[in-house]
Amino acid sequence: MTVYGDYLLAIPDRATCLEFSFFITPDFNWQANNLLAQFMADYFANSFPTSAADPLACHFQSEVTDSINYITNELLENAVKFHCNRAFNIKCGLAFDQDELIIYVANVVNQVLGLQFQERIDQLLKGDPGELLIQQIEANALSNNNNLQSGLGLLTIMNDYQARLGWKFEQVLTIPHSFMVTTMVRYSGMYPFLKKQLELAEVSESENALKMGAR
Amino acid sequence: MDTQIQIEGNGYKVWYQAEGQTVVCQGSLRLNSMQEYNPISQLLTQVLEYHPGILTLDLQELAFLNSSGINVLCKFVIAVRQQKDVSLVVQASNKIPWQGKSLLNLQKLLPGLQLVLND
Repeated sequence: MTVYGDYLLAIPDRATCLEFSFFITPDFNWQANNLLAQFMADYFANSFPTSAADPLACHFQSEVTDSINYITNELLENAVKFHCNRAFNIKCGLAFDQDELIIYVANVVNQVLGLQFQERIDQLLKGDPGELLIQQIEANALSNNNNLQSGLGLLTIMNDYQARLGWKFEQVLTIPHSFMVTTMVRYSGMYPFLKKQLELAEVSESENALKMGAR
Repeated sequence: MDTQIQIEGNGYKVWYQAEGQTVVCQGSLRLNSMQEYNPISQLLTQVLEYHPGILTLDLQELAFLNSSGINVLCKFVIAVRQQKDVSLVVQASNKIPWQGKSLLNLQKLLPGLQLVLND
């Protein structure tokens, strides 16, 4: 196993977690990415209902929800494009606790693609995301090849969403010359809001425990 | 090839309003690959051929755009930069969080671009 960047090997037990595992067929409906990303974002939003009377909380909630939607969709699009073995499921998860919000997607890639991806990761981790993003955009503008990937997904997540990325590469024993790659995004851009909501929930929990103890 | 002046797909619509010289993008754009974005790219290229002077890109009702779509917008902004006789105004919305984050990159590509974030 090889780990790159800010990969977190163990998600804390207390985190709220959602994980989906699904297989893709040759006629996989691209819109399913959208459905899952939107579901994860909606699930998060419904975990922290905000009052319309608190515009700042509503603003933060909308920011985090929109970010989950974009980031999850980008990771899923990449996974579906590059997944090379239909016998293996793609896994997609969302986890959050008081410290951060994590989105991860795992898929299988062939060895050639996996090695190319490791080189790309090296560039992403060494460079400045803002500069790399503009360089990639300028390079894309010079190319007329519509079959090329834009290469902007991970860079926008790093630069526009200020998120940290990590990757885990594992050998798949049953499929020679391939890797199981997990891409993890750790997001804390709008975390003050989430922290406050979770602390409020804990305060009310401990108040309840005190009341129970007093009985 | 004749380029359509209005494109409508599953959950999105893009069209050019000659009056006001405005390209409007609405809905949610999550197309797969640059190839699927081709009709939209062609519409944008066609509009530049009109040499509109001041061109407005109205994104205020574009709720979602994936990275392939961001690439299409960036390519268009670079084409405007090369044309030199067009000023670009981007109308965006503060109510749609991605716009405040990702559209700032357009100004880096074209410093004269006017980005208006409306409430």
